[in-house]
Amino acid sequence: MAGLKVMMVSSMDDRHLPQMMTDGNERTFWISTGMYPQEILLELPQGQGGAKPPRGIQISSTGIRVLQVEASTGPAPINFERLQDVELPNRSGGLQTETIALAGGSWRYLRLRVARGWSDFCSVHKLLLML
Amino acid sequence: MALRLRCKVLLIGDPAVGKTAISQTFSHGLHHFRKDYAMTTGVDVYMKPIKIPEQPVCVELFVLDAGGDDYTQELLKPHYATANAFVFVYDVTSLDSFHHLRSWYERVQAARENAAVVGVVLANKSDYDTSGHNMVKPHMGQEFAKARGLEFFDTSALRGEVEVPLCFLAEVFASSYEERRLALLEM
Ligand SMILES: Nc1nc2c(ncn2[C@@H]2O[C@H](COP(=O)(O)OP(=O)(O)OP(=O)(O)O)[C@@H](O)[C@H]2O)c(=O)[nH]1
Ligand SMILES: [Mg+2]
Repeated sequence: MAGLKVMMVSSMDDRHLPQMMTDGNERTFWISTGMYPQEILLELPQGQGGAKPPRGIQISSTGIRVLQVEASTGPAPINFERLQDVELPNRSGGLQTETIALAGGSWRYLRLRVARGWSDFCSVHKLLLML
Repeated sequence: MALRLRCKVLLIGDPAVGKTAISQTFSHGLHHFRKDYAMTTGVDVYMKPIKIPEQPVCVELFVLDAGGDDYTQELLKPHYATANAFVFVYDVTSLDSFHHLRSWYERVQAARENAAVVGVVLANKSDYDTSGHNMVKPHMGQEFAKARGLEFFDTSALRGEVEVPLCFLAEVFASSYEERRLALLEM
């Protein structure tokens, strides 16, 4: 999806780069390298010439138990507001798909915080903006 | 660039079995061994990076040490569910400390729902002669460990012999990461 940018992640394995979450390919992924919380900081595309802000974001992942979603209107990635806390079902390592509504509109940054996992490591395979 | 993994390890066991001595000797070396006993009254965290042999991988072990008394253990409880590995410690000169390990283990297990308890059992103060009748014999610790799928080690914080079991846990963690990564690649 054009425009969704990963700015920061709390874990790094050179074989599983952060941009593998936004390459549209579910087979490539980012993986956490141990302990919680884990964080992913995203920049949302800014609507130009009256383009509508995204309605939500769809997340394909494994091993995530508690996901806290926070957003900021910018211009700097500070002053985040808590949008939602979700508990994802245990898929025993299989793929979880969750949709987060981005109510309120003009967000610039999104912070996904994995507060708890179902296993030692979690992974994110795909982040898809819903227009 | 070497891969850095992070692993949370909890030290569990009765008061005075040597949990603090083990964490201090492990993270700062033998000269930090204290002969006098100072009860731990909160939760201390020790971090040590462990290089995995022949792999570009380093595991940062975060070792949490709390007092063995009930009040202080309450502070550690929230970590029971989220720890990656456990170190169950008894003192070879105290049969009580060995017998209590069973209930320590059960408390941990209850907090973890269905998640496995990965860990080691340490027979600490192995610098003492254990041939006396009121000492814990090595086979007792070995059987306890084996029945629960834990690995058994003799340790002596006094002699600086605590590294092997902690490096073992780091290696187990590194292989479980690699196993998970490979499983995801095949998904
Ligand atoms: N001989 C010998 N003494 C030890 C060893 N490890 C610890 N000690 C002594 O045992 C006593 C208790 O050790 P600590 O490390 O404070 O015990 P602890 O498990 O942290 O105790 P709490 O914090 O109260 O739960 C101290 O006097 C230590 O010097 C060891 O390997 N050999
Ligand atoms: Mg202590």
